[in-house]
Amino acid sequence: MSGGGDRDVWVLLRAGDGGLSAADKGLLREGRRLADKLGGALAAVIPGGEIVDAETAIGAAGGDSFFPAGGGDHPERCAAVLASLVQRHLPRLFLALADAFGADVMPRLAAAAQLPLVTNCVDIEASEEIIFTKAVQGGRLHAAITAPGGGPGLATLDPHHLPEGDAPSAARRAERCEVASDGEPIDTRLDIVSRVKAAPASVDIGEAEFVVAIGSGVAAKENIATYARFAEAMGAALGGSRPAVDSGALPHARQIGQTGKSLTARLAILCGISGSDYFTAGIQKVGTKIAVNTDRDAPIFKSADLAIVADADELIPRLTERLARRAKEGGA
Amino acid sequence: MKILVCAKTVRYLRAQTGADPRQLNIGPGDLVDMLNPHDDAALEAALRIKDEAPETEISVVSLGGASAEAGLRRALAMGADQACHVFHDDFAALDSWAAANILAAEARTLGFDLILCGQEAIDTNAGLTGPYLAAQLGIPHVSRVIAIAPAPDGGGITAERRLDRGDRETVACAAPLLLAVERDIARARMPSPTAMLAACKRPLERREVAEAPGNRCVTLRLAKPKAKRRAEAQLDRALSAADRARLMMKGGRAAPAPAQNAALKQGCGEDVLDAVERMLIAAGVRVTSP
Repeated sequence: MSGGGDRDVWVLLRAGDGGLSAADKGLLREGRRLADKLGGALAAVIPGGEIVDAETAIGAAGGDSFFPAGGGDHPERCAAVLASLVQRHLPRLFLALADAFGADVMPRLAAAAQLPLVTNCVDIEASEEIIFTKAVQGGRLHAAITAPGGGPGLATLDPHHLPEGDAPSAARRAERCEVASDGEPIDTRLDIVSRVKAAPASVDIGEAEFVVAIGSGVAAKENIATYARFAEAMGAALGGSRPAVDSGALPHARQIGQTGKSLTARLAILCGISGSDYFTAGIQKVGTKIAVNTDRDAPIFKSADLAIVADADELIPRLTERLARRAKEGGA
Repeated sequence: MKILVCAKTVRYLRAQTGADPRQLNIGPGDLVDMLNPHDDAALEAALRIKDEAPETEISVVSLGGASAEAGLRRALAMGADQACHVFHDDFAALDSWAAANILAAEARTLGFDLILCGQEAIDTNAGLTGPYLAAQLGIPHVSRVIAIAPAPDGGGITAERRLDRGDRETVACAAPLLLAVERDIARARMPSPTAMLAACKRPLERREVAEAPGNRCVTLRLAKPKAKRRAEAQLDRALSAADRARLMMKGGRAAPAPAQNAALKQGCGEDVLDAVERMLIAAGVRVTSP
């Protein structure tokens, strides 16, 4: 057996804002687990952009090496670059997130490199054979799928099933592997005309990156404008608990909780929300929670990262002012 | 323009009412044969192009067993010009690559300027047949499409696609190409009873699959989803009985201790504003002037 890459695990990372997102870290963690199982190394493939201090960032998240592959944002160019890279190194597994980018690039790569691909996996078992588990029938059943032949296998992973928590403590430095370009121009047929960031005011509350949520404590109709202005200033979507929606202050599409939407926001500011279990069911996946409530014993403070005992009606205008001042300073 | 719509009749598990867990609790009547709703939407998108440009010709292709016929009749009743049944009895055993292989041969026979299909089938949830079909035909494809606009000169198409977190992307491409559309691109029209009756009398083109191509992926078994891995219950004796019961109902997750976890601030002073601002910046909020 050659000491080559036939036990290695690769993960596809997209350098977003120069850092690794929580999902990227989850993907690296899963990759690390599988690489250890297979007795191979874990490499990250970065098709475009730069990750700031990639050696440390990827190393800390469990990666042994990384390939700054080039190819950028264009899915066709990216797939062509990845295909030549995969065919040269033949890793055992190549994983990507099942997000807009991964779900678009991986099928192109599978077709170009003639490799099997399993999409939206919830689990991967690596022993003699690799068994991919994915949800089918809308999640009612799980299918165990295998790709006979033992060659490289591709998979996209459901971001909601990635392991959570901190990366394994072994701090290492990932090695940078240069990618030799064969210099041939890649022919692309799709022309990406524009990309539009979602307007926070209209984006689905479950998809929003930042959320301002209001509850019965503040949801008088005449107050809504104050919170809407604050949400606009911080580029957040405005949502609310069931009492806020029942009072007619917000439409049902903006309801958070068991009978509404589940948030996936990076940060949520929860104003005047007591924090019943029906509501907190919808904020389990929020990254940072800031709760503002006049009641010191409000249950919402149990799950908050920052608890502020104050009247939100008083605090929020001040915060809006503060953000406006900051925006002006930043713009000047 | 000639549009080819690929539609699958799925065997969808709409409920699990059976008593036998060894049968995955699938009872009689739980599995229904229906036209994949994403493909239904793709057909509707094609029909809307035809509404604007009546010279458009729409062919619907369905690979499947005997159950595919009902879906094709429905497609004819909705307004498709031609329906083609690629018959394969054991099509559930085909993977996306093999299915795309058979469909590609059919597409070459029928000819096309544009191929529309659903983003995924609701029974297998793979989302691969579209991209694989495009690759085998050597044409470009766009996934997750939510709006289609034919270019005014007739040569190309612009498609709007859905990215993460509500972001959108617009892509332009010259025909021939394939678009995999999302379910909510258009709500499929309901064919009238007379159209349904008329469609029953129209001929379906039917072709047998002589030899099925090989699979790349093999489904070994189906199982019920495993329960999510959860932390062991750590019932804190200091908690009241009510709080402990609540903890158990939440799946045994240990309650975060508020005093240790949360930083508690009071009032609306500058220090509070500073703390909030720091958290906003740490989370990546970019402030804009309102």
